[in-house]
Amino acid sequence: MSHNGLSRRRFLQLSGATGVALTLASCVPSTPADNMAGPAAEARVVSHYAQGLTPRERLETDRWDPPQALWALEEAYKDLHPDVDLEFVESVASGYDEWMVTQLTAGTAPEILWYQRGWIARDYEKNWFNNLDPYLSQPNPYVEGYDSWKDTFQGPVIASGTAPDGHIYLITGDIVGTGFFYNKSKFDELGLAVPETWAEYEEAQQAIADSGTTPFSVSYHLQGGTPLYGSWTTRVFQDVLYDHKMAQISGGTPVSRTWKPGEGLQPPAMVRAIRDGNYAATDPEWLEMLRLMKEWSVHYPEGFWALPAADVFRLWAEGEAAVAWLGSWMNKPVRNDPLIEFEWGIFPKMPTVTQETSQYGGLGFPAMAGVGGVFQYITTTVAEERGVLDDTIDWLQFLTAPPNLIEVLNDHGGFAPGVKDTAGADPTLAVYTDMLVNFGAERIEPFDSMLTREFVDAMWRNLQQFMAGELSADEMSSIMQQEMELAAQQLLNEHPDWAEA
Amino acid sequence: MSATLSTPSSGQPAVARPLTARVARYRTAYLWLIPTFALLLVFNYYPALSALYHSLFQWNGANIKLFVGVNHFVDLWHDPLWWESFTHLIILTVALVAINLTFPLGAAAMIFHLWNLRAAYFYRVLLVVPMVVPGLVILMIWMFIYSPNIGLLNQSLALLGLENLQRFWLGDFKLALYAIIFVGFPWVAGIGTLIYLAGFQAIPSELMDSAVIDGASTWQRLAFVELPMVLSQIKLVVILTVITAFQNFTIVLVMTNGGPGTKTLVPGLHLYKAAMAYNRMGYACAIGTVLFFLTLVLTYLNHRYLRSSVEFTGS
Repeated sequence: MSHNGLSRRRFLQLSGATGVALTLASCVPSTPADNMAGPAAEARVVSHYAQGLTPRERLETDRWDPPQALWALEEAYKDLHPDVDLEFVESVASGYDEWMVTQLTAGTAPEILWYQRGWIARDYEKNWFNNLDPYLSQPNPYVEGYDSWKDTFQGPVIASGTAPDGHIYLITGDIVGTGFFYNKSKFDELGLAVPETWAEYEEAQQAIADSGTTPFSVSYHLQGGTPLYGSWTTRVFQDVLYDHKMAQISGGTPVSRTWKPGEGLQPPAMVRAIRDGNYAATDPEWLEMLRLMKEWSVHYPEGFWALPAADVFRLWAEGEAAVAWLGSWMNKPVRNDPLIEFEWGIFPKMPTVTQETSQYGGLGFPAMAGVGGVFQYITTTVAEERGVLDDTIDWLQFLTAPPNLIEVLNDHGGFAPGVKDTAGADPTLAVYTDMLVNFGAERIEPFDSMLTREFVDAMWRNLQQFMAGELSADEMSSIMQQEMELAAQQLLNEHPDWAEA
Repeated sequence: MSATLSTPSSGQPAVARPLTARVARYRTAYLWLIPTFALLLVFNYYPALSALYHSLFQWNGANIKLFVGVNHFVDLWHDPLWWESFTHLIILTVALVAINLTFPLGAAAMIFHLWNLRAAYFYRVLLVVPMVVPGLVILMIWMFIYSPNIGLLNQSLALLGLENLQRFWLGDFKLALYAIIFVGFPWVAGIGTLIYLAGFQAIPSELMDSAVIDGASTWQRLAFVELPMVLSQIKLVVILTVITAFQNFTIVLVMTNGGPGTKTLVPGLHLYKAAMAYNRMGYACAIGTVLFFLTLVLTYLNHRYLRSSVEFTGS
C-alpha cells in the first residue's frame, strides 16, 4: 500500500526537530523589552513600574478617570529623546512585595520599581538598587535655579529614602495623608458635632450605632485590612501612649514629633530598645493600646476581621457606615463617586485620647500621614547591566521637574507634591498636608518596618486574632514579645553595627 | 480477542536481548526522548537537588549565604507554624482523598451505566467543560460565593429565612478550613472523573456479561466486578490527590492568605512566605525538602499497600 503522507520516521524527525527548536527558543532569556509594542531596534528601553500612576484606559466599570498623565509625559520625553523607549509595566494586582523580590532576585526587574521606604533597611545591602547620591548631588537638567537635583525636593521628602548607611536609594516625590471621612448628613441628622476628645467620639459612635448605622467602617481582613488599618491604628496610638517614654526608648535622647521621617525612632534604635528592655510588647502602654483598640472595635462592622478591605469604602459611600478612615489616594474617588449621595467632611484631627480615657492619654494624635506614597521609586542595579542607568536617571529627573511631577500627581488626585515649587498643585490635598505639618507624624517606627517582614506578618496575624476575640490581650502581648525579641536578635546578627547608637 | 485474568507474576518470560542491542534498535525513539529528559532535568530534577543543597544554607537569595548544616530542619521541628500548617494539610489531604474517592467515582459510574451513549457523551462533555476555566477564576467565583455581605451563600440563606446559618465563611476561625475544602463542590468536574470513566470503559464487556449471567445485581457488579477493575485508577487518583494537596497552596494564598490568623495556613504557603516574603530561601528549601520526602513516602505506601489482587490482561 502506498500513500502520500509522512512516514513514521519522517514524522518523528520533524517532531523532534520542532521540539528542539522550541526548547532552544524558550531558553533565550527574555527582557522587559520583549513585552513592548514594536520598539525601534536601536532604541534603549527603560521600563518603569509606576504603581498607582501606571496609565491605563478607562474601563466601563470605572467610576472615575484612571491616571493617564504619564502617557503625555512619555510623549514629551520621547520628543526630547527619540532614542529612548519608555515602557510602563502593568500593575501587579496583589502580592507586590513577593513579585518585586522575585524580579530583583532573578535580575529581571524593570529599571524603575515602586518601593516602600520602610523596606530599605531590609534590602539596601542586597545590591538590588542603586545609591542615588552621585546623581542627586548634580543639577537636574530639567530644572533651573537649583544647585542640585536633591535641592529641588523638600528636605524631609527626599531624605526619606535614606538607608541606615546614610545614602539615598529612593526618589520620593510626594506626600500622603489620611483622614476620618464622615457622613455629614448623618451627623447633622443625629445632631452630632465633630468630636474633639475620644470620650466625645465614643458618645457619638454610640448614638450612630443606636440609629442603626455602623459607626466606623474598617477591615481587619489579612489581605489588605489589618496591614492597613492595624498599622495606622497602632502607629498613632503608640505615639500617644508612649509619649512619656520616648526618651527612654531612644536611649536617652528626647524625640520630638515632626513630619521628618528620619527624626523618629528608626529600626536600629528600636532594635536596641527591645534588646535593652526599653520597649516591649509586655509594656503596660502596649497593653493599653490593645485595650483601646478592642474597645473601639465594638463600633466596627460585624465580622470586620473577615470583611474584604474593598468593602470599607463601599460601606461608607453607600451610607451604611458613618465614618471611614480613608487615605488621600481616595480624594478623587470620594469627589467623583456617583454612589455618594450625602454631604461629607473630614475630621480636622483625630479625637484626642485624654486622661479621662487612658492614664497614658493627654497628647493629641499625630497625623496619620507621611512622606512617600505613590511616588517612591528605586532604580534597579540591572539598569546598569543593561546599559540604561543614565537614561533611567534622566527619565526620573524629567519626571520630578516640578511642573511634570505636579501634572502627574494632580492627574492621580491623591498625593501632594514633595518638591519645593508646588505651584499648580491640587488645593484639595491641603487638608492632609496641613495635618502633617501641624501635628507631625508618629515617632515610633511603624510595625511594618520596625523589624523584619516575618515579625510584621506575625503582628498582623495575631492582631487579627486578638481583635476577633481569638486571643486575649495577655496572650497577644506574650506572643508578640517573643516575636519581637527574635526579630531584634536576627537584625542585630545581620547588622552588628546597629548594636551601638 | 480473548481476555484472561491472571496474577501479575504469570506473564510470558521475555526473550533476553543485550541492552545495547535493544537501545540500538530503538535509537531513534531514544534520541527523541532526549529533549524531554533534558527539560525534566533542568526544570524538575535540578531545582529539587538545588533545594536539597540550599536547605543546608542560611541564604536570602541575594547577599547572605552561610552553611548552617541541618539547622533549618531542627528549626522546622520547633516551628509551631509548621506543625499547625501540617495539621491543616493532613485535614485537607484526608478530606480531598475522601472526596476524590467518592464524588468523581460516583459520577463516572453513573455515566458509565447510562444506556444512552449520546447522553453519556453529553454528560462527559459537561464535566470536561469546567476544566477549561482557569483555576483562578473558579477561586474568584468561590470568593464571591463566600463573601460575607453580598455573597451568594449568605444571600441565599437569607432568602430561605436561614439567617441564623449565615457566617463569615472565609473569616470564621472555626469554619475557614472547611470552607476551603468545600470549594469546587460537587467536585465531579475534574480529571478524577475522567480517569475513573476511562477505567470503567476499559472493563471487558465479557466480564460484565458473565456477571449478569451469574445473576449479579447492579450493586454487586459495582462492588465485586467494576470497582476491583478500576483499582489502578483509584490508586492513581489517590497519588495525584496526595501530591496535589501537598504541593498546592494557591487556593489558600488567593482566598485567605492563610488566615484568619493561621487557621488555613498550609506548608506550601509557609514555604512561599519564607522564600518570597521573608527572604529565608534556605529555610524554604528545607520545608520543600521535607514535603518532597513526605510525598515520596506516601506515594510508596500507596503503591505498596493499595494493590489489586488480580490484574487484567487482554490479548
